[in-house]
Amino acid sequence: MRAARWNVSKLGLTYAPALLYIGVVGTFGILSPSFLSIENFLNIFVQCSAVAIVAIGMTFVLLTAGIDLSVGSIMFLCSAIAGVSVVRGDLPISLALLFMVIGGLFCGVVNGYFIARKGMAPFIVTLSMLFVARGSGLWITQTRAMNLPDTFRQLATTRVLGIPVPVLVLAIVLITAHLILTRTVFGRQLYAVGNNPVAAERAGIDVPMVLIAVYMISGTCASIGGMLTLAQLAAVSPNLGQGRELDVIAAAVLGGASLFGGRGTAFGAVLGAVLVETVRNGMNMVDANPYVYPVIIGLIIFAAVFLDSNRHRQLARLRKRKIRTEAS
Amino acid sequence: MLRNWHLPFVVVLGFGLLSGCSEPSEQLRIGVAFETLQTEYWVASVEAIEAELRRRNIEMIEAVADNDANRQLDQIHILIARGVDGIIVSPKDSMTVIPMIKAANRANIPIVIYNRPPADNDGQSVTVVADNYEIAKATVEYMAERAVETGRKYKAMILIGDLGDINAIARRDGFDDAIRPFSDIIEVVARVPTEWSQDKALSGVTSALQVNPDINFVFASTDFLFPPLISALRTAGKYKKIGEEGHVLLGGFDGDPLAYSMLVERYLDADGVQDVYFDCAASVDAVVRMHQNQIVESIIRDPGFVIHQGNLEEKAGQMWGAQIARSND
Amino acid sequence: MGPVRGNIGHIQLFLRDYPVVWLSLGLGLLVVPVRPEILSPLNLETLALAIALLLVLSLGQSFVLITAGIDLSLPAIMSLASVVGASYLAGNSDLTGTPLSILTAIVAMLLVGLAIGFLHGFSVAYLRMPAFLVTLASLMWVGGIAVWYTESVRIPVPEGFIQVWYGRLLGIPVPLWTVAILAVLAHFILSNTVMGRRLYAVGHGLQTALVSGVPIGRTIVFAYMTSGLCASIAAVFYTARLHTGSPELVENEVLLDCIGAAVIGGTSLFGGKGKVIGILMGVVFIALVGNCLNMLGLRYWHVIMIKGGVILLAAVLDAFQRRWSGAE
Repeated sequence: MRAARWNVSKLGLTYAPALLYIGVVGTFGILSPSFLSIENFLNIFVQCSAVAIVAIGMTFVLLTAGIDLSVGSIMFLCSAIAGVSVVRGDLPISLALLFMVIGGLFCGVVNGYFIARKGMAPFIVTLSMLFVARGSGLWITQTRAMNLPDTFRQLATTRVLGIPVPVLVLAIVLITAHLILTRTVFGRQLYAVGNNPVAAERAGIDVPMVLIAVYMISGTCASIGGMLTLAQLAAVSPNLGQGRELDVIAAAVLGGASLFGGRGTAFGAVLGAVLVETVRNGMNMVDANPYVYPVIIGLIIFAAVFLDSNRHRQLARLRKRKIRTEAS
Repeated sequence: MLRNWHLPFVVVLGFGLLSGCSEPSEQLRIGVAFETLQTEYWVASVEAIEAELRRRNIEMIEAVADNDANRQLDQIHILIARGVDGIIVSPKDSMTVIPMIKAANRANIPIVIYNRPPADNDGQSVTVVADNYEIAKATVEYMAERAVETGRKYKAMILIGDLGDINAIARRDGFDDAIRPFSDIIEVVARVPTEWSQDKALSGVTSALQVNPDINFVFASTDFLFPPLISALRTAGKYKKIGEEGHVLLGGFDGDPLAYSMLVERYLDADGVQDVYFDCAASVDAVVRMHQNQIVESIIRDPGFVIHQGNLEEKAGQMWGAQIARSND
Repeated sequence: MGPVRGNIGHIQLFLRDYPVVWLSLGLGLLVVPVRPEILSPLNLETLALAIALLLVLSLGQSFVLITAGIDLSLPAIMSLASVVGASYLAGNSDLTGTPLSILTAIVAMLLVGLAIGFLHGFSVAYLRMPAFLVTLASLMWVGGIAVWYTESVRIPVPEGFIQVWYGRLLGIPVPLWTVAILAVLAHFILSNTVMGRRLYAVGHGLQTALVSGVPIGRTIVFAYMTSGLCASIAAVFYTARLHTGSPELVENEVLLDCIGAAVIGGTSLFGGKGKVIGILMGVVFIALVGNCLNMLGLRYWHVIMIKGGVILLAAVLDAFQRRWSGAE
């Protein structure tokens, strides 16, 4: 009897975030039947794909106890580069996409260089990059909005085997990131650096190289996120990506990443982004007063974090009761 | 260079005497403070003002506040400290501009409010503003007449701007008042608040189209929101040319280059146009005349016009977006 | 601290600890010959007031940063407080503008900040929720309530209230007095009281703080309530200054400015470090950069880029200084 109750509460606690998600989906499903269609779920994935991919990149940075505030601006700068090369330069789209990735990589290298080689605070370095990248983007576009040719938009609407391209891109990035984090030496080094940089250094890990790599990954993911945003809007507006860094960090941390390093997974980051987008989409579907959106989304994030942090404590307590010898 | 070192002290001493009469420099200097440059409309406005100032051999000092009213007030103080001869400001909203007017009045520097009229206040200023209500109303009336011609029923959606902006409210009211006489055939089923943001517009419109797949009458309170609107309509398979089966009656406001090309390609039915060239020339003219202590009426209204499929050839010459679009080609 | 070396020694130490002072001086000297108006009394007052506004926010933020937390909710608290105060004043038509109603409005605004600060402190200290997400959720839902309540409509405030910002005492604007008193108070609390020592202890590490008998919960709640209170005070100033109660008084970017100023001034995002004098230097620097760039009348994008570059320069200098003093 006692053991059964223990098992139920353990089960409930282990899957608390999943239960919250099911609760959210169920509520909206009852309120609006069309919410539960496959089409709508694809829609949710398409709309959160950009944030989810950037959040995956952010997770790499957070694992090393760093932070990348510049992702929103990098999304904009890369989009601006693409816009200028396609609209003003008449270059082919494939080349524009290549430029975007190069732009993201470059910003990441600069961030990583100052953080790793000069030992400067990631917050400050990426804050400067936030301003420099946005300023450069505004410079090359002269703050003009740019409307891209329709072929760009087809990237978002084309489907392969019934799955929209942005979702496919998200899946590829997710699987690659997951494999890097779990199956490679680099992945293990990342967690080591995040848990204890001094010990990692002593164990022979080239910490600066690891740091430069994570900011490059973050910059690249930001440029891919920029591509997906562009594909959906087919326009570069001067406020593209503004404030996105907070959404992205929220998604990553909701998915279990810690700002103090050493914790976080690629799947978690995507789940965090999907949760937020599901709430937003659901409120759209039930035609809620739009002014209430931020209130509800904020409260649900609060609830998710509350459940998650208590789960860790309760689980630890339960485990202690059963296996007394386990060290924390 | 060294000579300049004594200048600060001269200026500090002389500053109190400077207000009121302009510096004896040969060239006038006008401060132009914009709240944002995030849409084509604002960029075109700054450029038109700059061109008009250059034509009159006046120096322009630019400041952009990036959506922050407090920063804009700082910028106004700094323009005053630099001793400009006049200020043209496009504020964030109708309230936060009042301390800016008062600051300019205290320094005895003429101030012209561009595009967004201030709320009631006891300060001295001149406002140059398009008649947002009438232009929006005329635009939507044109759309409604086209709707009547088809003899079908319509479900309408409006993309509303930031409700702190009087112009957003005027355009919404113009829309509502134009629709009301046609309430037997046009029903407003969706009001999407966008706060002038493309992101918010995209998710709002996408969901509105999911809840009401039969929306076939859309008015955007600014042309800036066309890209997300087109994107959402396309995804729903509803972006069709005039005359094609399933065409959604489309209307916009501003008169930007995208709206012009949509008119030419026959996707857009009508667009309310603010006459940027008139507004900017009037603003510059007003600030110069105020500087010369002439009396200027406190509101200069730009009547604007509606451009639509019926008068496209005739009116395109006056549409600022058309000129930019043509010069880009 | 090292041995007392007299005044000159103090100044040397000070300049060595805060290289940002050099940078501020250099920046000022660079701009003065080009724009002598920067020294005009009118501009110096503008600059002083900008420093005062940012300092209030940075002081509150730094109390939280010292405990290794972060408070992202400041803009939202400001919005809600502004809206609450202004609608209270607008609602009491018979009291409008009387000193009593103005005082009540200010108290109501301060209570908003204290209450939300308490909620944050409680969530972080007792519910063990990560500060970043708790306050990010608040940034959404508290700000959302302010927008929802007003539906973005701006509320005028009576003339009497405006004097809170525009009034003068002995020829000096009231807010400068207020902020000076707050800064002295903050300095006193941090360096001369038990609470100050407890804040630093919590930031250095919860385990050690616990062992040395620090009431961790109460200390953390105090830090977040201070931060909320400071945000409310800033809201009083903004509302009076702009003659407007509005849910959109500030852009979220002010967060980056106030955290950036604290970090440039030597506060660590990982807790346990930070002094009022350093924060003041950081705030002066950020405000001066803004003022100088506006004075120069550069194009918008150049302003943003240079701002980013100068912040990076401050960090580089800091890194050099640390290396140099480390080698010594």
